[in-house]
Amino acid sequence: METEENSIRALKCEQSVLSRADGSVMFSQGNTVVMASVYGPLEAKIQKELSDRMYIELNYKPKTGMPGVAERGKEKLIKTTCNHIILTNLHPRTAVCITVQEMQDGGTLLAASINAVCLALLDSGLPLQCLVAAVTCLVDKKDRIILDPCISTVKEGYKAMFTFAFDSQKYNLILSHCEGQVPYQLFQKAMVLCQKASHVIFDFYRQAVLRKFSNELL
Amino acid sequence: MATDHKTLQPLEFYKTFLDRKSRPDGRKLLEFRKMTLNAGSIGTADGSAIVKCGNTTVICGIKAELAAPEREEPSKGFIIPNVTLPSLCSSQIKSGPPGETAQAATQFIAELVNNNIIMDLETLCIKVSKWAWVLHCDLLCINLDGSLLDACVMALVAALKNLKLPIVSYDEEMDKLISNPDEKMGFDTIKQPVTSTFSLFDNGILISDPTFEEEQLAAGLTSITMEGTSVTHMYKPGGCTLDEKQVKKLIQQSELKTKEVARLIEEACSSSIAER
Repeated sequence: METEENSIRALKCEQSVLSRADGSVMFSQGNTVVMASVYGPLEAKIQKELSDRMYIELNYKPKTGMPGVAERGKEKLIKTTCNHIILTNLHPRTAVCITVQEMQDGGTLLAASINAVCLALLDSGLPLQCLVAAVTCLVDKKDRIILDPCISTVKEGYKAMFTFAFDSQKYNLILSHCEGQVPYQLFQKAMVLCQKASHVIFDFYRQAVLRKFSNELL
Repeated sequence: MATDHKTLQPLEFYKTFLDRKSRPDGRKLLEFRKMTLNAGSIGTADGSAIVKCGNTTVICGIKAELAAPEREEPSKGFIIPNVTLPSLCSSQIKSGPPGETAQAATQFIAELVNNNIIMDLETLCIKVSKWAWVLHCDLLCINLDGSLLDACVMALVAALKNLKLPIVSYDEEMDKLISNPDEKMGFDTIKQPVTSTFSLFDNGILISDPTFEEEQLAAGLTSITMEGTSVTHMYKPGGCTLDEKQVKKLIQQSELKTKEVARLIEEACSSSIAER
């Protein structure tokens, strides 16, 4: 029971789904489905041009309606994460345009978006300094930590929900996002659990790339 | 000579300071700027506060109104934060609709509110599913020099502590509200979260309470919110990585700031009450 509750849901992905994008991916984590596309390096708008590095433009499109303040918050989180993993100083005075389209919300959208963006960047072939894997976990009302919760678990109510992202080099923390509050010990426990779970996602990235290139060779 | 170096190679200029464990404004790496706080300075608002952290200045004004609570959460009132960054606060901010920095700050404060870190929203309810207080908290930054979130949270908490509302009760038989405008009360359930922002540089150097310049040069930012000695929120939007040792160090430093801010808020609120 313990192992079943504390594992990542099934990961699936299809790379190069869009013909015009430099990199694109359809990524699903359980019932959560996200599509991400990468265009770049492109010519940057004059106001946005940075003399020493690449400008990253990130758009997050919700399933319905216009993006609001909550989406802007998500955009900022994903964008600053990208800023760390892309070697932006290799392409000064250019821009890269990343779009994340929410397809189905099955909980943990932020983590799924970050993972999808990472796969799309891998597909585009932009030089990266490391990969990133994001994992969400939830502390329920009985203080149990549930890894990668699905939407029904989220709707049951929780004490806290954390999203962490780790890099692929030393598994250090890149992003932390909290909802709700719990004692610090529990927070730390959740972080360690997510850190371990991120290895599963890195393995999945490896398999995805292997599959993509073996298909191309055939 | 030094100014040329600073304009041409800002990061290198800055790193020569960091290597010698100091900063251009004379602070040590983990030193905070001087903070000043004044509560109750706006007479027309129900609650207000002005905060200065170094040069960063934030004014918070709270206006209250009554409304029906939402159906899903009939026993909760509302706190609606709104961070405004007018173009006068910094050369980087353009006038027009709110930019990314302002929206991200608003979202951060809204998250603290929704997670009951600021106060228990149920105390704002007057009559379940009929009437509740709506607190419009407007945060206006008039000088943006880094660590915006720290100043915003401090101003919001001080303004909430300073808030005075007329006592309102619900008459069930008449189905209306009864209030006496002469009698006012505050809320004593407001918590005291303190946010501390840190900048991280590529070589693992941490600095606390960054200025605007330092924020631009740094590889990443982290904001830790604490109440007393417990960590209630950790916001790290990407940027460079942190290991566990560094996280511990940040928490230790935030604890120091939490004590200082708690003292300031207490002083400001007690002096503003004495004035009335």
